[in-house]
Amino acid sequence: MTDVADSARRLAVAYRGMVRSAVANALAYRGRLAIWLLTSLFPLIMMVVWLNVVAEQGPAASWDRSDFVSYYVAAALVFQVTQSHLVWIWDEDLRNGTMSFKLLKPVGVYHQFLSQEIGIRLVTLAFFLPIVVVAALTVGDVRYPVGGARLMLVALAILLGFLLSCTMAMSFALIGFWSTQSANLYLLWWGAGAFLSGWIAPLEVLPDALRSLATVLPFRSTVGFPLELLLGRLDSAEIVIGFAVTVGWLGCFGAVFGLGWGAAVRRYQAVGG
Amino acid sequence: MSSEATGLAHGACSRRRYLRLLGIFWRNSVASEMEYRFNFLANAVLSVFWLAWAAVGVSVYFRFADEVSGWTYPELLVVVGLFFAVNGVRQAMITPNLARMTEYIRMGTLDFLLTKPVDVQFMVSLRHVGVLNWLDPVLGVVLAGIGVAAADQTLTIGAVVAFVVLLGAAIVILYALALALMSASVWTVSSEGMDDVLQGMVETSRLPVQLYRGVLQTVLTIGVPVAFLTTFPAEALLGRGDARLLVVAPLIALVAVAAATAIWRFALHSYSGASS
Amino acid sequence: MSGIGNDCIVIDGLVKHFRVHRRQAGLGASLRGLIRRHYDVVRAVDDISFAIAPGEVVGFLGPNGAGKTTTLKCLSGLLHPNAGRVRVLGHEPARREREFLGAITLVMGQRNQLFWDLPAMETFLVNQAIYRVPPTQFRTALDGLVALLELEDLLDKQVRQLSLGERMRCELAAALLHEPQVLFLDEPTLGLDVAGQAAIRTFLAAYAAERGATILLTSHYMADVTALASRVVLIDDGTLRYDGSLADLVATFAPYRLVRVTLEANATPDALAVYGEVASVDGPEAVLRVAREATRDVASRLLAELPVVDVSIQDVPLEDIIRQVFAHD
Repeated sequence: MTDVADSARRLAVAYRGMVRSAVANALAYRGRLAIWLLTSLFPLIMMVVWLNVVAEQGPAASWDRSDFVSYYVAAALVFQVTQSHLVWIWDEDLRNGTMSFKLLKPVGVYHQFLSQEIGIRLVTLAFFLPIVVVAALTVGDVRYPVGGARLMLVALAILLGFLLSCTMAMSFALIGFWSTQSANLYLLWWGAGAFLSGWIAPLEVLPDALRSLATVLPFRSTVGFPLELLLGRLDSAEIVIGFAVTVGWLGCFGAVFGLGWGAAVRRYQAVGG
Repeated sequence: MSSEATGLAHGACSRRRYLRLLGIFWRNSVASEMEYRFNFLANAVLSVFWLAWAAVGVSVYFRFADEVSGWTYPELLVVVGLFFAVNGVRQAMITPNLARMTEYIRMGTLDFLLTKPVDVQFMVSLRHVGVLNWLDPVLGVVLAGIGVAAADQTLTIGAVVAFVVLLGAAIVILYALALALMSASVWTVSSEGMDDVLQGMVETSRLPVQLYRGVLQTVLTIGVPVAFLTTFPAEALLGRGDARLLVVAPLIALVAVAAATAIWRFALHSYSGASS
Repeated sequence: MSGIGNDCIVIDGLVKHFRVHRRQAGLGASLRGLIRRHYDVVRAVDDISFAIAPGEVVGFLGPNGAGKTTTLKCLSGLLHPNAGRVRVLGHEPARREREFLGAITLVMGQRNQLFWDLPAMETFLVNQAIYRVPPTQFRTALDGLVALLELEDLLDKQVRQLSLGERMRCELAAALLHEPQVLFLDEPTLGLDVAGQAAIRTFLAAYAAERGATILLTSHYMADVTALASRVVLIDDGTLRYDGSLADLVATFAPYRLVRVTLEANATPDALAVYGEVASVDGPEAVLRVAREATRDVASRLLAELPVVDVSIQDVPLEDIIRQVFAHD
């Protein structure tokens, strides 16, 4: 029992240091503003087109102008927090030898990457959260009908979505130990999932079949679920199902990674990375 | 030989030499990328995937309307197809060179290149080519063709000529944008994020500029000439473009390249001054 | 988990090989490579065995591609052997146990674990957290390393702004903050200028003397080894060529010394051959190889019997000895 407590404490100390330097690194990266610009662009483009459609044809699937604006303003933030670039970072580390250094540390490689991601997200949130809050308070069209309790649920949903996204990314990244195609495979996964997550368009404007499918797949947990929660469009049952699906997939991919990691290290030790 | 003739002969000689150099550079780029052989097949598959993805993606809007801001679904596909073509050119010819700018500057390779008897702009902007996305421009043009056919549009010679002129202007404008960003990276001693900025600009050309409306539309037509990249060539192919663009677009392209080259020269000038 | 005697590092019959894709130049070969690839098996390490006692400083010498780095990676757990047994501090490195990882360090020349855009201090702090070094211990270790490596002015500069030598010194500090018992140093002076190399050598000598850590150092610079190690292991083509003290190496492979003599007139090989083996003749200068015991005798005879302007006695350069050891028969 004390072993577990000791391990946990040891990990916490390591995380504090690793996240700290990840934040410092993220702040030092000069291209960050450009990255933010690029990843916020897509949702804004989508929003503009939907507003066009609504202006010309009226509400789409009962989503009016205000719904779309509210969705996409928050989407800019949720996208940034939950979309993970781990596969590319992992791949790069494998190619340039940095993985060796990570493997030599007495802290799990999973934790080293996760703390890196957390650090980047903290910097991103510091930039995007104020924007969303200001927009929510000042722009008339932006409406988030949620109280304190629900906002906490939204935060939890975003956190779980982030963890799920990281775990999925790392599971695909393991493929990199055997093949150069891990990033491409992940892109296929992500691309297919984009229709089912709420990225291409809010799930409610998609055909029913897709919407039902999306409810049981992991993609919605990273985008659509937190957003629909924020917009107050889910009833209690749907909220419970949403969290259950998220946690379920988190466990699933966690297991995939856990099982695959041993094999991946053995592979690295066989061919020298 | 008269000095004029020697000058011309020299010009022809150096053009041939540059073409030969380009051949060597590009052959090396291809050879090194072929080291990762599965990448070729994989990227071809992904190209098809992303094209289908984009085509299906924009169809969502048309669940609720037959037309968005004057564009029908097949017509929109023409723009999407041309976006793929232009973006493919960006990924093949610009990204590999833009990404290396940081390395050139930080490692001093730029100094090294400045001492070579070859034009630095040529070396820096055209040296590397990425062939992994070779399928994109091909698929893009194919999709555009499909769009034109599905839009019940008969392709006239005039439309095709206009299309070629405007697409050519688009590529030149793209190069000018890239060169301007390379100059900026000389100043900031880093090209981190520069490719992302360019990618962002090109991403906005995924949809016809009329879908943006208002101030944004004006900015994207006149400020940052994204409209020239895909919207105008698409309209030409669909036979509904503004004829004046046939003169305006090449002019804008020339002005853009001239301006970008001037910025590049200025950046180099201040760079050499600083590092001495 | 010991029971393997008192040795800190044990390698027994280590074998490690890799599959390498062979490719020729040219576009045609590249295209063919898309369809079919030819692989060769490279035996990087081919049955080597040696043991290192705690506190020893061992120089691991060999030309490029000899198998030094591969051996070090096997010892640090980055590679697992195809055959043979490896034990470090009683642990099997490939199992990567936390206790093992916390007791070793691997430093690779010209490669950094330092954060590029941040001051070196940031990397030190992360390592403190990762290795769970208590604050007071960290302070002491850091102060000691900063003093020995002369890092005072470098700590606040971005790593990207440091020179290669400065970066290497910071890298060493980052690698030693958790006070590991075993140090694996892979070409730590590679690419450094003479001053930089000297600085690293001085530091390592002092560190070894103070801490009693076990150090395995690879290099293809002779000077690294003479400065730091009393024992050398020579490896080439994946096999061990010599394992013993430096003094014994010299005695075994160079049981002679060089007598350099300058005469008044041009020297003739025949005239000199009676004194010893003539290594070279260049005008009035000649070099003779003379058995160690006979040098004094030969020197006095030369002075007495020939018109000598100058005579000197030298040891065979270590490089030449090593080269001889590595020479293929």
